[in-house]
Amino acid sequence: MNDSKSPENLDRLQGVVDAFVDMSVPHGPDEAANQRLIAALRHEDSQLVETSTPRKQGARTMRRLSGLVAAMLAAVAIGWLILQMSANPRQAFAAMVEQIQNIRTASYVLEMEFEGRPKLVTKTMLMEPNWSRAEVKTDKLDFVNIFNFEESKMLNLLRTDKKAQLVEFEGLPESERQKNFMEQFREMKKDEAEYLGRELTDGVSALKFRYDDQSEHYTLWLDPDDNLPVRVVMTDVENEDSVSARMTMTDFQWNPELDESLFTLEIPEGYETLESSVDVGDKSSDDFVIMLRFFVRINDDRFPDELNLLAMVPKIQQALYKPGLSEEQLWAYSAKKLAYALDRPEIVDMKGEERKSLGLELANPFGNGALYMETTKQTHHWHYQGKGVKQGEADKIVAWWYPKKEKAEAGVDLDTANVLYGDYRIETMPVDELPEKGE
Amino acid sequence: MIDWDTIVAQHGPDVWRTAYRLVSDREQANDCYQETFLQAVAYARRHQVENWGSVLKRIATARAIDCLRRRYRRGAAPLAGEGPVDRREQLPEQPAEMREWMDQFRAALTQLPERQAEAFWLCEVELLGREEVARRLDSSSRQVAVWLHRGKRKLRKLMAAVGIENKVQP
Repeated sequence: MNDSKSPENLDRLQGVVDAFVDMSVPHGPDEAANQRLIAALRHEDSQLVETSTPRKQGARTMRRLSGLVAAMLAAVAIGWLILQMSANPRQAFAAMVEQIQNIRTASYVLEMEFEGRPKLVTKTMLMEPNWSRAEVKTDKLDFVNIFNFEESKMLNLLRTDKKAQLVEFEGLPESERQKNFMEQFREMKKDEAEYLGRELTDGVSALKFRYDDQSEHYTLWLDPDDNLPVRVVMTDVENEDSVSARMTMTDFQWNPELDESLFTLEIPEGYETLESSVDVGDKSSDDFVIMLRFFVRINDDRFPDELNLLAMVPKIQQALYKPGLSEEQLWAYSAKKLAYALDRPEIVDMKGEERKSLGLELANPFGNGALYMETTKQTHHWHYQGKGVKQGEADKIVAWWYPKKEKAEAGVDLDTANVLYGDYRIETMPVDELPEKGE
Repeated sequence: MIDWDTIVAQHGPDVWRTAYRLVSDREQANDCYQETFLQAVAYARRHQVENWGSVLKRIATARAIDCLRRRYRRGAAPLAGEGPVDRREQLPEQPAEMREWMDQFRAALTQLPERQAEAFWLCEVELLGREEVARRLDSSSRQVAVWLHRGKRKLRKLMAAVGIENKVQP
């Protein structure tokens, strides 16, 4: 009877179709609900009229930058990509990866959420190939971060207090330099995204995809008209219930005209300058230890289960924050914890200006330590087993690392590992004497 | 500015009917209804709309089938009377066996490729002409005919398989 052509089945399908055609339905939304809908439609309509302008500007920019021939080629390519997308939504993801190749400037709103803390919202602009600019503006903070990827330099401007900090990342291997998000998208594997269906997002019936990288987990909504993202959410862990750090990108504009003067490392007139550099050479293991010790002390003197920056940031925020306190009470609360974690008792007595400077000052060893760790993970065989280890346990190995042959420069000793113990000392050990993982 | 009062008044009942027939759940039909009109705003920004009726039916169909896909992907058993299916409003004029077949059909529809499912629903249930459906799906009437043929074949196969399963269950 499992014959799809049997008369019974032919009749059944036709019967069901007829039943749907004749099906009576209950009354739909009432007049009041329709009026609310109409008001929302009018509002949405006016919003879309406003936001449609930058897209047109974007198209003009592209023509200006690339010339008529390039624009025609791009139009043909986009048309082809849309046809491809129509054939199969999965191909829209591959098309997005291709499309991003054509993008030279972009702006978007980035919302950073760490568990238990208010959202931090930045307006971010990218100018390929080398620049990014992020602006944070709240009642109390007016902050700009400008990054030059080619020179590995970063300018922080605390506009409220007219303070500037130029940070130079020295010794960063070319292959491990910082990447902006467009580069991350370009490197996504076209066949590895999971299509989750259509979803109405930001006024667009978007194609929703899931993409999992080694350490980040993305959900992307692509506009089927141009295969470009309208919303991207990045989380630290895959399981939605356990997410403690979430970054949401919205309000994308692709190829907008951006003023080149926004992307400069020149310190504006009248700013007090704090110069600093971050060296990721061998010496930086000192800063790595400073950073790790901070993590441990803020984590009740226990080494974290995983050494993952994205997962650690919310834990630090949680440790330093207590809801319901006034600004001064909160400072007193977090200063005590900072003083212990950094082994700097004077922090407790710091006043206004000193406190503000502390943030910029801490960026140095932490940025340095984080970079050392992240680059080492890429260039070395890296193993971390700090879970369960308490601060000071000198016989417990927390981590080890030794150079990868394919990434090492000539003459580097490939047979000796650095070994970090629970009392933060680092010793060397022949690779073939390293204990089995977990010992 | 588009006259949304008139459009909602003229086409709202048809959009509701399309959404409700597919999802058979008041709350979900209401979501589809609103999403359809909101998506139409974005659609109208990019297209000159000459036939609001068929544009809205197409969007409503896509939204409602998406809703069904989510329902069945979440593991709702379409035939067991569990999960979201419980929220169906039992319309008196449909015999129980037909309601069961209609649920089989809804589940089977979610197994079809996106545009095949839309083409089938728009032609066979909404009774739109193939030319019109082809315009709405940015395709040709010949392609729509192919989708219909393949869609019917697969729906029959899926529904037949479910019928067998039902019979062998204790």
